[in-house]
This record gives sequence, C-alpha cells and structure tokens, in this order.
Amino acid sequence: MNNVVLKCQSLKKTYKKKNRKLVILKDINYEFKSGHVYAIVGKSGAGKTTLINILGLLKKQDSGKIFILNNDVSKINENKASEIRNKNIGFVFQSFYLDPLLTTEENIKLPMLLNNSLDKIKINERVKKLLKEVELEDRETHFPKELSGGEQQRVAIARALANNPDIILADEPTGSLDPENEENILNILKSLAKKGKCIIIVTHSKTVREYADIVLELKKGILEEVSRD
Amino acid sequence: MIEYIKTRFRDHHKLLISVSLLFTISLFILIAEFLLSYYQYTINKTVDKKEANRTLIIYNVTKEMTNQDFIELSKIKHIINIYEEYTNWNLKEKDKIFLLQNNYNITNTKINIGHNINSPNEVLINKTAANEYHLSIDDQINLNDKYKVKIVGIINNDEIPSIYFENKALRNIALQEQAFLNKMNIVIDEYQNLNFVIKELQNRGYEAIKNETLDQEVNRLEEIINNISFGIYFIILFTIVITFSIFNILVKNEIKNNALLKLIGYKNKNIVFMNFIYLLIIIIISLLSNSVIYFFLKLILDINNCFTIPYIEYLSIISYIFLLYFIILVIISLINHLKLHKIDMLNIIEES
Ligand SMILES: Nc1ncnc2c1ncn2[C@@H]1O[C@H](COP(=O)(O)OP(=O)(O)O)[C@@H](O)[C@H]1O
Ligand SMILES: [Mg+2]
Repeated sequence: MNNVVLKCQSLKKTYKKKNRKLVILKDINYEFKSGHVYAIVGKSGAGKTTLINILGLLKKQDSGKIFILNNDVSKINENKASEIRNKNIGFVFQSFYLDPLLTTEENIKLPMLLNNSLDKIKINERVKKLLKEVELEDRETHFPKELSGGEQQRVAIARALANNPDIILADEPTGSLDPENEENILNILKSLAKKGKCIIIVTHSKTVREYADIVLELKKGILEEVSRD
Repeated sequence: MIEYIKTRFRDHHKLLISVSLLFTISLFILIAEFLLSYYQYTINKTVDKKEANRTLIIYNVTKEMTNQDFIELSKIKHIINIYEEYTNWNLKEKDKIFLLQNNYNITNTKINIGHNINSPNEVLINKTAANEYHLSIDDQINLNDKYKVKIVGIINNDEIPSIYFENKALRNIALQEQAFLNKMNIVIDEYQNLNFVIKELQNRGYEAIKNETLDQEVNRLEEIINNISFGIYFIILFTIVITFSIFNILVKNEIKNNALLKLIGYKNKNIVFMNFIYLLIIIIISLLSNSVIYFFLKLILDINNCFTIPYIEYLSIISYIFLLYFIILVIISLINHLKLHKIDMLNIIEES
C-alpha cells in the first residue's frame, strides 16, 4: 500500500519569453506513494499546473528525472508517453474536459478502446462498475451538456479510472463546484486512495487541504511538505 | 476508432456547413466546366457545319507550284489533305479534253450520287463530259495514251467536262506529268490549328487565305472560352484557398478534442488518422451530392434535348475535384501532425 509509484528527482523547468528566462520549477524532489491523497498548494502562477503536466508526461522538463512504478520515463518518446498515460495515469481537470459529442458511457469508454486486453463485454462491465462507483448509473446516455458540473466531474473521474491507473492527477478538480459537490468529489477521491491509488490534487481550496493526507507547497520552484492548516 | 469517427457526425451543424461549402465549390467548378464544354461544342459544330472553312487556299508567291510543293506541304503537321485546283490542268483522250479533278471535293460536299471510286483506275465524270463526249458508265478511256481508266459514275457538277480521280491516283499522275499549278487547297484537322498551319506555310514562302467571317465567329467563341478558362483558374485558386480554410477550421475546431485524446493516451498518428477519415467522408458526401445534382440535371436536360456534359467528361471533372480536395486534405493532415507534436496541453486545458 505504501510503495512509491511516482518519483521525481531534481526536476527543472524554465520558460523563455522574449529573452526573459522564467524559472518555474527549480529543483523538485519528491516520492509519491500509493494509498495517499496529496494536495499541492501554492500561489497562482507558482507552476502547479506545469508540474502536474510534467508529472503526467504532457510536457517535458528541462532536466531531472521522473520514475513511474520504478521505471525511468524521463527520456521516453511521445508514443511511449501516450501508452503510459493510457495505462498508468488518470487526469481530472477543473473544467472537466469531456468530449461534448460523447455520452457519459462513451466518454468513460474512450481510454479503454486503446486497451487490447479488454473486449467489448469486459469494457461494458467495467463502464457499469465505474458508473456505480461515481453514482451515475442512470446518466449513462446523457451528453455532457445535459449534466450538472458535479456530475460532469464525476464522469471525468470515472474516465480517469477507466484503465485502472495507479496515479490520478487532478488540477483544481473542485475549482468550479459548489461545496456540496466538492465534498462529494473529494469523498470519491479519498475512497480511491483507500483502494490503493495515489491521488495528487492541485488546489486552492481549504477543504481539499483538510481532506489530504499530505499537503505540499510549491514555492519559488521548490516543493515542500507543510502542515495541513 | 471507427466508433469514435462516427460520433464526430453527431455535430450536424458542422457537418452541414462543411459539406455544403465543399458542395458549393465543386458545383462552381462543374458549372464553369459545363460552360467551357458548351462553347467548345458550339465551336466544333460551327466549324463542322462549314467544312470548307477548314480549307486554306494557298498560293505560291514567288514561283509556280510543282509536285515538289505538293510533297513538301504534306509534311506540315495538322494537314490532313491537299488537293490540286483544276483550273489549268487537262488530260486528253483522242479529241476529248478533260479537266482533271480530285474526288475529294465530291465526297466532302456530298454530291456524290452513290458511286464510289474503289481503285486508282476508276474515275467519275460529270454530266457535261458525258453529254459532250457521249460517254456512259463502264466505258473505258485512255488518257494521254497512258492512263487507262474506267468510268464508274456520272455526277452533276461543273460546266467544264471533267474527270474525277481518287486522291492517290491523282497524285501519281501529277508526279509523272509534272503539272504546274499556282494554287492548291489544303484541309486541316482542327479549326484551332489553322493559325499554326498558316504560319508554317508563310515560313515556307507561301501565301494562305482563309474564310474571314467564320474566323470572326470562332474568334468570338474562343474569346468566351478563354474567359471561362481564366474563370476556371480563378475558381480553382478560390477552391484551394476556401478548402484549405474549411479544413483548417475543422481541424482547429477539433484541437480541444484532439488534446483530450492525447491526454488519455491516443497517439498522434491515430488522432491525425481519425481526423483524416472524418474529413475524407465529408469530401465524399459533398462530391456524392454533386453527382446527384449532375444526374438530376442531365435527366432534365436530356429530355429537353439540351446540351449536357457527357458522363465520361463529368467523371474526369469530379475526379479532378476529388484529387484537389484530397491533396489539400493530405497537406492539412501533415500540418495537423506537426501541430499535435507541439501542442501545449497546459494552454488548451486552461483555455477551456
Ligand atoms: N507555454 C508557456 N510559455 C511561457 N510561460 C508559461 C507557459 N505556460 C505557463 N507559463 C507561465 O508559467 C507560470 C506558471 O504557470 P502555471 O503552471 O499555470 O501556474 P499555476 O497553475 O500554479 O497557476 C505562469 O507565470 C505562466 O504565465
Ligand atoms: Mg493552474
């Protein structure tokens, strides 16, 4: 339950804009373990989203190493990164980010279509199970615009869980939700951690801080554990 | 993947707009091609109707024409027939004098009354000759004591007693007799090649005369054709720009969904392929609707005996349009592939 699933070593990232160098991540070192909820806090513009994107292999760091399930993934190519994202990482965003032309069911299925070990029957079974987990059994044929924000976010979580990944990366997942829905989503994420997933949440919210097992602050390009309050 | 492509068509609005734009453009091209074909057809008809107008009368301005000229002229491209004018050339049999003519005149002006010359020693004579010299069909005559010929037909043509030879036979006689002429007639294959032939003749020191009124008529039609051809270039350019923009907008429109696919593990080539198939289907739908319009129009126009583009020509036009669309699609897909490489997920996700 407590093995390291995601490790980063001396991650560095700078943006160059009009000859001005902007150091966003200076030296990030951390080991994320399974079964925990991590909250990453920090001022706006501190580089939280950048960090999450680098951890999710959506962006390349300038230097430093990333290990996912003890495999060095710092120098893999784009296709390999896609495979890892599909199998090992689930993403959740503030704006839900669902495909507007797909129903709830189809949105959840989407990552599974790439998974060769799942046939049609297994996919449908899995979709049913996930829908139940996020309490949306009766919304399977709804399109995103027919769902409330909280419901959309639950669909996004179900989709993130599609291929049973070890890591969930969530960038302000409750940022656009009311307190009630926020708690609902956090409860789901928390229960996922209990089942052994590693949940990393970027947040501004006090509630998320309270829910997290460990709070990390990103400040001046350094990531450090801080107290929960 | 096919399942995903299918879901893209749920956006009826987008589908309708893109299909109708591509359809409209292909229709423009079709209409322009139709006009072009129509005027080409009109020209051909005009020229065909006046067969003689494909004929040039040439004079040699410095010397008298000889058989050597005859051979020389037959080397010029686009000339399909040369025949001698009859005015100063006669062959004799006893006390009978015949004006020598080429049967080309007869067969082409369709005054041949069903008698055909089948061999070099068969000839036609005219009524004047038949009456004056008491000749009839199947009679043999010995011209210049050298050429034994048989009369196979009598035609109603000309006032002077004449004898009509097959072209090749006449040429042979001309070579042996060393006849001198001052003008010959030349027939060319296409009216459009008239100017080329005239230039060739002038280069060789001949003077050529053509029918001026037809020239004006054809010139007018040709001007129209040139304008339409220019219009077609313009439309094709327009098509390229518009199609490029349409595809570009469609692809850009998908960028958020593409980023989403990338996020959940789809590879760039899969994403590009799915966009490619989606756009290909849009192209096919728009060209199919174009074909439906064509067949519908053809049906109506054929009933009313109007001019229509033949199937074969239509097929080649539509294939060209398809090719054009396809090439643009491939270019857009390549650009899309490059863009996906450099896609900044952070920006796209935060924009939404
Ligand atoms: N593609 C980019 N080019 C240049 N600067 C960028 C780019 N993306 C983000 N930044 C800058 O990096 C900083 C950190 O951004 P971000 O990671 O989104 O911060 P946070 O999520 O903590 O608010 C911001 O100042 C932002 O302007
Ligand atoms: Mg952010």
